Amino acid sequence: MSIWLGLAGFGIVFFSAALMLGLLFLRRKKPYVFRDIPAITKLRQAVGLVVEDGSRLHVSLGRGSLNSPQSASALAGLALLRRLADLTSAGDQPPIVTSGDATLAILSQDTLQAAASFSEQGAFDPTAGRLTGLTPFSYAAGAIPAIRDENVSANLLMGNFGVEVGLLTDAVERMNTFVLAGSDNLAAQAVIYASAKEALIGEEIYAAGAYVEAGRSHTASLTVQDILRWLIIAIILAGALLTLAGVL
Amino acid sequence: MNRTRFLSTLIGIFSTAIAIASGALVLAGYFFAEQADGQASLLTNIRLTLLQWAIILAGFAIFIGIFSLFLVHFKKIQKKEKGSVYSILLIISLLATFLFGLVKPGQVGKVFTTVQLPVEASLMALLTVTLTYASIRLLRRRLDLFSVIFLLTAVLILLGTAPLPFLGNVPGLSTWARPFISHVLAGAGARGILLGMALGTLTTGLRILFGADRPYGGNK
Amino acid sequence: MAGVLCPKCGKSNPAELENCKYCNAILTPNPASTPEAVPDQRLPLEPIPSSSSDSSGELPDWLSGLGKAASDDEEEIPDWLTSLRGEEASTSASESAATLEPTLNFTGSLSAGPGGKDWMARLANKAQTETPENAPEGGLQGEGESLDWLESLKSDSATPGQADQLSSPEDNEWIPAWPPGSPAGLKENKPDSSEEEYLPDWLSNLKEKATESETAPGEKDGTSAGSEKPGQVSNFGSSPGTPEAATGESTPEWLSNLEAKTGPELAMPARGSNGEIPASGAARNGTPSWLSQFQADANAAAEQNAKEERFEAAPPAPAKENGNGPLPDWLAGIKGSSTTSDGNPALIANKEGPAPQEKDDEAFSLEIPDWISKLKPEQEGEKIPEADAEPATTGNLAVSELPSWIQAMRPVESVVAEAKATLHDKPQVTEQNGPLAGLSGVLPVGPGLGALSKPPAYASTLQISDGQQRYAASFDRLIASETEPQEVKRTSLVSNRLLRWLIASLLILAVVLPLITKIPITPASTLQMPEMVKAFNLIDSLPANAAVLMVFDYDPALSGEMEAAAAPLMDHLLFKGPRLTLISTSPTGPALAERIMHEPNASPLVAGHNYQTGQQYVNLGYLAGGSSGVQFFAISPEEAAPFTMDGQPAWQLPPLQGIQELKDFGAIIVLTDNADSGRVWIEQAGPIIDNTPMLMVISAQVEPMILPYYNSGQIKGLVTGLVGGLAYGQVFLRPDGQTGLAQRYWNSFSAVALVAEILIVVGALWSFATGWRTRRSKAGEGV
Repeated sequence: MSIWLGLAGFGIVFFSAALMLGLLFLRRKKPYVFRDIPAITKLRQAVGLVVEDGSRLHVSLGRGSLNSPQSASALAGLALLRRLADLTSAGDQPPIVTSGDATLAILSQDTLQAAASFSEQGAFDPTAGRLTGLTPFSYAAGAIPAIRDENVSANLLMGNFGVEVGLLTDAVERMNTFVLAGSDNLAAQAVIYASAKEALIGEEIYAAGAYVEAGRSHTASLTVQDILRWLIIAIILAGALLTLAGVL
Repeated sequence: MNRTRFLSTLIGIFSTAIAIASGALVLAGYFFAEQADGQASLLTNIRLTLLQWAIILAGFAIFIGIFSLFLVHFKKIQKKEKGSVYSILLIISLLATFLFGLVKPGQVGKVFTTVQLPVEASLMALLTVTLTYASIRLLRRRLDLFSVIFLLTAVLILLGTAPLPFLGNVPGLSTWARPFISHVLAGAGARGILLGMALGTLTTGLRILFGADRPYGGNK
Repeated sequence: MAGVLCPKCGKSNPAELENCKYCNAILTPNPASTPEAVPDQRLPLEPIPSSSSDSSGELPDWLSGLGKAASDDEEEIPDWLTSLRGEEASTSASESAATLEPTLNFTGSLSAGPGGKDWMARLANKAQTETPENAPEGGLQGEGESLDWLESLKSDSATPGQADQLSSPEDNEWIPAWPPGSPAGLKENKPDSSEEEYLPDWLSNLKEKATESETAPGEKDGTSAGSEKPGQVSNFGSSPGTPEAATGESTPEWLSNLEAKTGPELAMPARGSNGEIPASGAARNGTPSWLSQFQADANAAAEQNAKEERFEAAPPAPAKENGNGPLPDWLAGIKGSSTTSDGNPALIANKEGPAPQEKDDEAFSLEIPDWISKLKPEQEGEKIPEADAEPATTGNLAVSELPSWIQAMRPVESVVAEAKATLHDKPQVTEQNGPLAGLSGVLPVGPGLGALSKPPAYASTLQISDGQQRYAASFDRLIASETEPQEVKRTSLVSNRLLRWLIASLLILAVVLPLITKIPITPASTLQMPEMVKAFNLIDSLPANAAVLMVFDYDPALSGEMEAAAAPLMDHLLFKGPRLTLISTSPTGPALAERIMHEPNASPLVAGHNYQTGQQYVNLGYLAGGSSGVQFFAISPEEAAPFTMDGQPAWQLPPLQGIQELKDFGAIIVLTDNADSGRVWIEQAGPIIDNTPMLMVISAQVEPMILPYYNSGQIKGLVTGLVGGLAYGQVFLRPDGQTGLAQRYWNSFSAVALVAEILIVVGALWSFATGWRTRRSKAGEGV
């Protein structure tokens, strides 16, 4: 049984990989059209204002460890960080990144360093990517001073957050700055929806990369997600019908 | 200059190759864990070895993160930035706890339960106030149907979870409404969201495996 | 090829030499000389290739003789020249002199007709009175100068039969100043009207034009060529003139010899400053030595000047072929100048052939003679003598033929000036005032150009009307309003802070008051969730001294809820006396586990069991790696966590005796406030533990995510939050009747929930009303 489960899992992964590779290399006559996400549109505007008024962008990647499945949301946040770092490279100050995991902090430093090589903001500052705490609330408590004291005018909270994200959004609201938050945690999504101006619900955090044009791979992966989602919907409906019919 | 660029390119290629190879081996070890005779396959052993290496690196990364934390606050003190007083307190607390753990390793737990635990509990309590405030201002910030539904659901769950003082449980609310909302509606929504999360996790992992996403610095 | 005889010493010299190599006397006679005028010694006489002596009725004879081929009679020595050298005049010389075209006289040679003795006498007289220094530069305008020495020369050379190409020997006695071969022969020219009948036409024309040119200022070479100085060299660069046809005289020997010379060698001997024709040395027929020396000096000076003026426009002398005899090459090409219609000399000579036929009156135009332009290096090279010739002095440098494009680059000023002079231009007007003050030749302001007047002054300020000013002001205000920053309406921080304080105060009161008063405001809950009941049953069914694995994966922030929810279950479990193994995937988990085991504040009931580490329970500490660590622990727990938190070998201690795999445990209880963590343990450890039951104590916030696992049977029991702990405590009644924290917190929990509900409902309604009113007002303003 476990072998069949393994093979089924491998098949799903292989099918997804083949689909993604095909979408990566096949050229479409028309570009992809995705539904509008107002939060990401406002994020672009906020980033532009950051560059214009010479303030700083703050990105928080959450506390998802790379050894856990929650690393996916953190990696999505890193991809968005890279894209935003490139966009804000024309600004006066580089973005700062806070995280609740040590490996995420190292990766954020590397991402900022890569973006700094193409910017005119001077030498790369390793302290721009920092670990603010090892526990969720200590991480949130350590990130609040970065929001308050570092001349931040736009905040991007994207990663694995818990309910402690409410403290971050509250601090942002006190500073009257822009915030876009998203988490793979359901409780955090509820808190984000209630407390943040712009919220990403569900798997929209994985779609953000495609919306900010982080690369063709992001667009292809988003398309693969949509295809698989429709397949799952079909399978669920079929299973439900069969169950109702007494077949299963 | 060309040499530096060549080296960085070489490092990027090398990092990407290691990442792809490691990911592929671990993934294959998950799917082909057992041999026909039920014994652990070679891929399983490779996967476990690689996972152990990853665990060691993650543990070591904590030291790097703590050092980075120390450096950030030290720089803040040096530059006398706003909030540098709290940075001084942080560094003092860090060093004191570290020394206390070296001197009396069995008593470190008391430091934890005496300082950290109450602080975090207080933050959680603060979160309660924050969420209540956010709920009050939700309709002012976002006036739409989903906001109303959100608030209504929150109230119903609260009413169904905690009985009313002097009144007790509200009939139907605790026995039917709340379980229905929590187990059926919320559960269904949660499953849908989790499925989407899983798909996103899958594609994100595939991007890492293909080398399209290189957060480890290969994406220059 | 015969050389040139030195007029002084009479020795033969190579034709290309200008000075005698024996006595250094100038060998090339000066062809331009008249009894009255001093020939222009500056103008070179470039040898032209001799052409066939085609007779042409248009050209004077002497000029047509200039077109003879170089092979013509190079050995002919003018009689007059030979007579100056003391040689017997030969009949051939006289014949050659007779065949000399009258046009030769333009070179200033004393072309003598049969009756040209008088002008030569005049020249000789003038030569005595003039010195080379006094000769006017650039011109043959030494009209007043007399060549006394010429007079003497003329008297000495008296044989009529010795007429050379130009004249009788006695007429050409001064010619020895010329280098041999140069067109030294000067035609006879009558200085005055009485002698015109003896002068060739061209010479008389030269005289006339020289007279005209005297009136024009600034002239150098002037029109003196048309003066009484026949064959003046100045005609080369001065007034155009077409020498008249010769009278049928043959080409004088000196002229034919002139063909054989190279460029500079064929140039006319530089006249002295006084215009004197340099003497060529003592005549052979008795020329005084002083005269010869004088001539030699004058020739040297004239030669030097001739080199400097090599490129000066020389009046073209159309070669008029009369068939009387062969013309030197340099003269044969002079058949017409390519002068323009207005008489301005052409700067580019036609090398192809003879110049177009010109009228006689344009013979002495300012154009470059064709013989000059037609000088070819190869022809000049042919005339170069054998190699034994000594290097020439500075005056013997070969002059190559000028290409047409170089000739076009000749300075125009002198030519134009001369052209203007010959054209009888009006005197130049020099501007006296204005920006062109000092310049000459400025076009006068004539009628039609408008009267000069001071331009009107215009105001620099913009003249706008009142209406335009009003419009501009309103536009300015409009733009200024666009750039003015809009005042941002910020939400009042004071009101926000007050609201927060209010909320916090109410909530704190709701929590504290029931705790202080201990008034049971909330009746006990009667809810018994099935998952909680199953959990209770599972714990109750555990055997004594069973090994139980407990996972503490919750955060310190939620320790209040988790401890309240887990305490009844743990209390129930500890009553069974199990061997506990504690582990955590969170760094703070082990500390929380120790707290709940020993701290009465966490759970007095659990702490009351007084479990000892190493004896009744072991704490494996922090399990790193997240899901990977859990899977590793599930597969091989001893390898994943070999030591306790104290550093002791865990798997040798009594609590872990007989435990090899995860499924050896009697039960696995996971305490978590995170759905992900719970899911990890379910997904990683579930397939391995087989029949070992897994229970979970979770926070109320993760119930929707974990409950499906219970529904699917992957979890055997579930205790959710404070309510679940309370319900478990109601189910598990301790013998001593003590209750847990859940019961203690129940009243506060109920009160704060109610306050929160009220605040949310009231606040939401108020926010809705306020926001609706604000939007309505904004919509009204927008309309």
